[in-house]
Amino acid sequence: MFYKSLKAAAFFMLLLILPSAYLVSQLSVDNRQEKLVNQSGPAAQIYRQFKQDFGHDEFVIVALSGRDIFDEDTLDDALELVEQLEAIEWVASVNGVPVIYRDLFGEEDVEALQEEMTSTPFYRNLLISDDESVAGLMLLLTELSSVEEREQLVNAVEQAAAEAEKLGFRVDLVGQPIFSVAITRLTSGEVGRTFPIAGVAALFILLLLLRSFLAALAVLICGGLTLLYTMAVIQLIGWEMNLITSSLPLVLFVLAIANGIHVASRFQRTLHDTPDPIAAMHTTLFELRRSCALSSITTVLGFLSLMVAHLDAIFQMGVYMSLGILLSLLTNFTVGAWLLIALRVKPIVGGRHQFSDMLQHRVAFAMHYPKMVVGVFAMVAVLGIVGVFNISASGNELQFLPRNHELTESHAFVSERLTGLTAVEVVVDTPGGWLEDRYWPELEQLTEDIAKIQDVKRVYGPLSLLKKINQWHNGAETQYYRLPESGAVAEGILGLLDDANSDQLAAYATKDGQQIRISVLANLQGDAAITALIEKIQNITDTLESPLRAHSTGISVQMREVNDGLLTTQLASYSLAFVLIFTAIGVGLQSRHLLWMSILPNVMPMLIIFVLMWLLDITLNAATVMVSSISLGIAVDNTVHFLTRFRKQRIQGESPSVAAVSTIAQVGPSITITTVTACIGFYALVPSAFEPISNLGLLAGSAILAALISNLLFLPAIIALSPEERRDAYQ
Amino acid sequence: MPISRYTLVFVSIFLASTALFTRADNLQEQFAEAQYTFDQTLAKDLLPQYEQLAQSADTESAWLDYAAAALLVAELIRGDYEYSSVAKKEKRELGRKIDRVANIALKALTTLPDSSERYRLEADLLGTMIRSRFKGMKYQERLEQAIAKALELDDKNADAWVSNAKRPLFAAEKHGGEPALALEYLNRALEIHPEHVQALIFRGVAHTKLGESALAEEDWALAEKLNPNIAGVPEQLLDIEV
Repeated sequence: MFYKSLKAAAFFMLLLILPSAYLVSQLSVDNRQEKLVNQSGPAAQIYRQFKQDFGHDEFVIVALSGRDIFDEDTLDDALELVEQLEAIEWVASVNGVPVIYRDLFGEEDVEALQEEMTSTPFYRNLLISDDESVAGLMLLLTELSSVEEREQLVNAVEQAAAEAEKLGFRVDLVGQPIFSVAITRLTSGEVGRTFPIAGVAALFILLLLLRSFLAALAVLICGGLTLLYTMAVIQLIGWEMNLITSSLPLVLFVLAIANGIHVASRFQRTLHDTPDPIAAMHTTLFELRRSCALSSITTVLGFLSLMVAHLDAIFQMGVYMSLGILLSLLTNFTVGAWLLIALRVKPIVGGRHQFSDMLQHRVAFAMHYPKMVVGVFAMVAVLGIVGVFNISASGNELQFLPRNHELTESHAFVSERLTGLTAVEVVVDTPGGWLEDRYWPELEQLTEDIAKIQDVKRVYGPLSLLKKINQWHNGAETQYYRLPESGAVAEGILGLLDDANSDQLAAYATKDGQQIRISVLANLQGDAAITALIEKIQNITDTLESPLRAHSTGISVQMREVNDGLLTTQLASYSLAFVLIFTAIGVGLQSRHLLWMSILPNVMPMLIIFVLMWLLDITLNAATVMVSSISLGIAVDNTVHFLTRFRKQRIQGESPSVAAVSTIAQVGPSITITTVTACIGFYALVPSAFEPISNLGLLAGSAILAALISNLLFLPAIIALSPEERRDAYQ
Repeated sequence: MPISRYTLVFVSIFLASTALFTRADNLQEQFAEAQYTFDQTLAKDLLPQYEQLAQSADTESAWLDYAAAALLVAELIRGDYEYSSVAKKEKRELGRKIDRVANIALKALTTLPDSSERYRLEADLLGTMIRSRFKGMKYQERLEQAIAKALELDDKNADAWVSNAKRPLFAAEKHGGEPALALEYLNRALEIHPEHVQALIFRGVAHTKLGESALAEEDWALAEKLNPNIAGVPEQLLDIEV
């Protein structure tokens, strides 16, 4: 009956492979920066309203350098590039020196073009660099409705850029779609970079532990299936992957293997005493049901605690991983169990005595010198507390790219040479309409004051455009680059605008004129500088006199809020994980004093994380903010397995020290192996192309390793010092 | 090849040829020949002769003839500029030649006393230089002032009325386009000079824009009869909007 049910459940799970594979093939990756942030927060709502009022703001900048831009041949070649760019489906318009040369100057009068481009501040630090050596082509895009469209757009832009490079241009591409696609490309290579290391290491460990290729195969199959089912469910609920969740396959794979190791290892041992594989599996599953379920639940709780995060990407990571861990338990207890029987896995030949002896010695040592062990851990704890005050937060999107990535270099080049790529949008309410000239002096002052802020490269708004239009209206004479005499004159001039200029104006003033947008473009390094800029802008806009009012928005503002929320997220998710996990342990172990004893050894990994972040100068970012909670959820598994067995030994009448040693003899090898496997899984993330993911791997791997050491030394030391244990609380 | 919005300036010169028949003498006959046949080489050969004549005679009439010859050369080069499929570099060179010729003539005109023809020539010379929006911004106002002055000084100057009709005829509505007004100006030109080929063609365009295609066909048929070399031009003008 047991076998029939097991077989039916396993077959049912196996039947899901094909539909799951189909669903996974449809899964898309959306790496847009805005997908990282909380879409329902107030900042996101303001930004959505901004986009509704002023239009879609996605753009690509193609920066051209390496040739004299005011040379006829250069302009002819640049125009070929422009025409290629204009032919791209999602390019709504292209603006830049060659376009002005063509549309305004009829591809003649280079001297007049140069005069037009450089005699007023209008184009400077926007379409032409101060030293006139870099020219920018600004590609305004139509709404990109899918990841594929974004990819096709970037491919087409790159193809055009490659042609231009053949003509001697240096071409730098920047912009949100370029960044997203760069991340997507790195993501697709990510599996190839990290999986082989984790796969080979996992196989090696499995063979070492299980000494059976078939048993190792069963465990690996379960890991793969867990991954497949989880990704299928993600697709089924209509979510996408992003640059944070791109690390999910590897992490989930190794965590899924951990459950498999427990089942296979226990099954092989049970086979010694119970040669009938069905009966042995029945015993195995019965014995493991509590510890595996509890450890899975604690891991799930660790991940679920990420749901308090301000970043949607972290929230999703928490959901995906929780789902994956539960599916892993299900897969290992059905498919895994059936495979171990069906593949006729043999009991382990020989023992693991030496390894087990070594672990027993460590535990015996800790129980013999508990105060010394606790003292050492206390010193680590002090370092951890110091570390926590020395950690900085960062939400800079470029952190996700390798430092030598082409896009990082292009970003730096364009920022330094052409225009600022950090944009803060200042939306000003202008009741009655911005063409009321009584507002102009104050708006001019506002622009001027913002432009004076350090590292602000350009401030651009409708008044800049109005000045330029006024100049054009007055014979293109430079002295007319100024505001018209009155609002009425301005209205008359604007009434003559052609479609292209009307569209340009519509991006900076609402149709009813009640709001205008002033774009602040800055060249900033680091999140603190962005925060400072936003605050300085806020201080300036606060001085506006009624009825003028202003607020800032844009993706930079949203990311600033994300940064501010990182530490809160860290603390909130860890606290939540802590409460949930230890409540679960308390319920699972049915012992209050065992619960208390389990807490300290599991706080230690978090303190180790802080020490490492401090010493290695690792910032708290969208990826590393997850480490503490994840590590707690995973690391606590060892404690659960240890204390479950320890309690059983104690109930059987063993003294604390004997029970601890015999417990470690029973569960030590498997918790060590599962820990090492999980460590390898996380350490395999270290070669990741994304620095935050690499840091996540390093920190989580180290934390889990620290948790093992803590469980092997610190937990026994606490047991030795526990008054309840000395009182023999189990009788 | 797409029609440029500035084509009208070039086209206008093909059609303006009849107006220059008034200039007499031998040189004038060759000049008229160059206009009628659109012979750029001949026109270019004549220009230094007109310049020499103007310098030696130094009369208003001689300088106006010189400016008219320069206008013819500029407009004929503009024809190549608009319609020949030359490389960008060569096209730019043609543009520079137009500007050179037009600027020399404009400079000469500034020394002359006020007269309707002086301002009419100035307007049409500026027209040859307007080949881009930028040049439009730069010269359009001066061009319109010159036309207004030409008509103020002599409202019987048919060429000036034709020049005056260009904006209402070819501009977009928000930039002053008003075919009915253009029709009125062109009627004035044709009252003065009933066989003014350019005015006939433009009036055909105005009629078409006002939905009177039969009247348009009549005007174009007469224009083609007066100068068969303009065949096909009216249809091209319909697509122009500045």
